[in-house]
Amino acid sequence: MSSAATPASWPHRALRLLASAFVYELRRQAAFRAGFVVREVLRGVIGPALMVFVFHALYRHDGVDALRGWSFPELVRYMILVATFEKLLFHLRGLDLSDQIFEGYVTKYLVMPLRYFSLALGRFAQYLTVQLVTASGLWVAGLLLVPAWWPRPLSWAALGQALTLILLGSYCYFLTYFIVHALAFWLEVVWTLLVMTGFVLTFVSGTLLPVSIMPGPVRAVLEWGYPYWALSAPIEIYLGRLGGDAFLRGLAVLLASIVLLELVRRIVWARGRRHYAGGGM
Amino acid sequence: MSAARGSLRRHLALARQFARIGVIRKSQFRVEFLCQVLMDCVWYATHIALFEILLGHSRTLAGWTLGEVRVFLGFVFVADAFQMLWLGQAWHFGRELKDGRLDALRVRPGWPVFLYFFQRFSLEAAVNMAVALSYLGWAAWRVGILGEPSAWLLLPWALSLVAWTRTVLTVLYSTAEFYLLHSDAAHFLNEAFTAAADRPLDVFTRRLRAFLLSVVPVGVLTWVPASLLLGRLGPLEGLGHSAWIAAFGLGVFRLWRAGFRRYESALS
Repeated sequence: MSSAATPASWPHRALRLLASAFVYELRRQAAFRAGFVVREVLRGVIGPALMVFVFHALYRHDGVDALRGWSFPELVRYMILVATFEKLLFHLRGLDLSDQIFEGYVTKYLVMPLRYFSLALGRFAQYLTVQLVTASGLWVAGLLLVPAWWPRPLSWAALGQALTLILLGSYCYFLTYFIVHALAFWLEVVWTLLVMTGFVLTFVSGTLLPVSIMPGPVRAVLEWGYPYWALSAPIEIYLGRLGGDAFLRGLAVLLASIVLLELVRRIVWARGRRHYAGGGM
Repeated sequence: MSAARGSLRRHLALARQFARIGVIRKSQFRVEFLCQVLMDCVWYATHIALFEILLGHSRTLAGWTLGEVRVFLGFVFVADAFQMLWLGQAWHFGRELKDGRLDALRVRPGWPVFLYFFQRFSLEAAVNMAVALSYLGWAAWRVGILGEPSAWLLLPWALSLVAWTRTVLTVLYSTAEFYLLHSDAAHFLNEAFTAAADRPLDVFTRRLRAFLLSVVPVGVLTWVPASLLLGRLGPLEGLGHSAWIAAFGLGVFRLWRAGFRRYESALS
């Protein structure tokens, strides 16, 4: 028997599946160009822009000098980075697992000799690739157009630390949304739960305003959750407002969150499959 | 005149049927019902928290006191609840247009805009509307305007503006889908412009404010009603905005019908 005919080992098969899923997801996303621009390029830009107007009004017309140590230019830079980095956080519409469960399509994947989760991981990889390219393009364009306002990282190390936390945070978002989608094994509708999760994550991650502006007790609670370390804290590290010790704490929170979420995902998936009738709702 | 009365009666009867079907669909207490009520309450909570935090650092926001911002937020919540209550079908428009599921609108006995956008009455959103109106009432009571007789005249006017403008904007955004198929353009436009209406327009520059009152008049959705009730806007200005949004709405409905003529089933 030649080596070419030898069945590939499990890790090779899993990697090949991941690569195929990645390519197909990318093609699917790019199939409708107008939709691609709207969904991938423009998403997440309007909210931060509107908050800049709100902060401008506070500083210009209402006599505010500083919000817990944040000057207006610093808040503008924070919002620019929110618009850039929030793109990298996995989006609630990135998966369609619940639809596949409702309609019974997931059956075909469950009977094949592959892990369904590899397909979802392929989508996560595609999402990150597209968003990394988009975010980089946005950042470079902004730097060329408005160099005086555009936020540069404190150092290469700060940039690396911020990106590491954001990418780990994005994986936490992905696992969270996968778990909420998988609740479709029991519930008739999960989109409300998904949207609700999105609202909560938006607020507690610091998308609307930096977590450090929030009242002390709220801040103390949020600093234990992964959303804070996925967006608000990395931006503060990038800008040099938080140091290397914060990076280590963030790394610990995010890794612990990934372990916990992965455990929950496995339990929910295994129990959901046992509950699944195969024909959809 | 009698033909218009007959048409109005027919559409009101259709609305009653949509509401009856919506109530029957959701009459059993399910997790979904609770989730949708909770979802909107979480959305309200994030808005309230944002402005309460910001106004914890400043006495005003673009000249609006905390009490006035709360009244403004009341209108934001009422506008959202109205969308969820009657216009929920709009979320499916892009997909249904792409899949060619609008054929039935051509043959049904009624105005296509009304038949399509008002077909999904949501009982759970009625609970959210009650929450939104309660918050608005509480906020208005806190700033002391509920005791004034004029407030009881202005309130129905302001709420009618919310309902009409919300409908007009929803139809306007969906029109983009006729020309940018499967683009999520309606969702994006809704997210972009309606988010602008979630903040008092005074935070924007004069030109942008004029744009948001005249070209894409999201300001009439929340800012004009709140300003009218709070006396920040005179009745004459209010009348001007009302006349403009009425005319604008009729134009938007004609535009949608023109777009609908492009529809040829299974556009995908």
